[in-house]
Amino acid sequence: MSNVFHLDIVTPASTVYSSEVISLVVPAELGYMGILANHTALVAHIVKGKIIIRDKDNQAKIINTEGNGFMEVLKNKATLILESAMEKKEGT
Amino acid sequence: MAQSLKTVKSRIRSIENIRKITRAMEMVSSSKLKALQKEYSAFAQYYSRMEKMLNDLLASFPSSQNILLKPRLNKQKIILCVVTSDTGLCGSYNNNVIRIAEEFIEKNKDYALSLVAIGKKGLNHFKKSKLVIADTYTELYGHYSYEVAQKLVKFLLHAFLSGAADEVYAAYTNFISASRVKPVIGKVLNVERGDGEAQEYLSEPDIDTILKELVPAYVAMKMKNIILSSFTAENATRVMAMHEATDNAVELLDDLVLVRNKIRQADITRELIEVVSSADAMKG
Repeated sequence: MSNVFHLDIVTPASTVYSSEVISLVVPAELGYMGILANHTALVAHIVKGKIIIRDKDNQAKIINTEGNGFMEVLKNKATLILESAMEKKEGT
Repeated sequence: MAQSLKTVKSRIRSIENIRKITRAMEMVSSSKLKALQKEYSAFAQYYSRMEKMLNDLLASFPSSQNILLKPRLNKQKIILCVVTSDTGLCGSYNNNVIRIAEEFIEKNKDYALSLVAIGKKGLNHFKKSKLVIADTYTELYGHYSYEVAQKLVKFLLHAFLSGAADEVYAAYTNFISASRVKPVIGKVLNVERGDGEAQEYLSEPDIDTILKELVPAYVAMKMKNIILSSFTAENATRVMAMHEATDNAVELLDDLVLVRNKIRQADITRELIEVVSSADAMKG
């Protein structure tokens, strides 16, 4: 079984991220939660916070999210539907 | 030829001006259309994913409860949002929306119907009717504004929850492509359960809490979809209408130039005949 899964992050303005990733950490309503490949089907309410992505080249990436959001994990595919998402630049 | 040279010339000038205006408007609308199309297609991606997520969730948790999902058994009051443009010169765009809105009103005349007018043209049309206009949103001029949409959604949700409306519909124009738009009636509230795939989801927190956030967000996005789609369609129709108008002006101009030349030639011929005949008379 592969150890990567597909992640899509969409906002009303654009698709922010769409690629294979190793791990994903999201700010869910009850606290941060980590997702790895082959996770069981899951839905969660996302709140304001940082989304931490580790992509398939093992590079970390941080995306800030504000406002309401929802996550669906299904069949090794995660979809994040966010009101707003901003990639955090290094050093900021 | 009954027309004088002077009137034909002035008509040519005025039609030339009209052609310039319609051509400029066509260009303005087509650049607006491009920008809106981009915005709408990005948004449509988001919206379709959200819709799918909601439908999948509702199929997976058939026992889930949400007040916005619950159909009212004793349906009495309906709100219809009519999305039209603020400005004219966009062909049959407004007429089509108003036509299907009136069909809807006719079909539902047994219920207490009130209207929410988005766009001046719809407002002006329905002002003359006896229907109650609950709220109006005008002077958007084809620009989607977050604040206005938020206000509108708040109003509709409040109306639904307070019992001022048992169902909410919208008459709007669905943008299919730059050359195809379709006026439709869509149901906004209560939210209907669509076809979704049932999955064994875990949910965090529990499903009812998620739905409490997701369903209003979905309604807001549905209204945004309706407004954006209409505005994109408005500009698409305007591009078509203005293109047609420009073509017609060019055609008319060609005809008039021909008429002008004929009149001028006739004048020259008449003057020549006068000169020749008077010269003949002098000789005679």
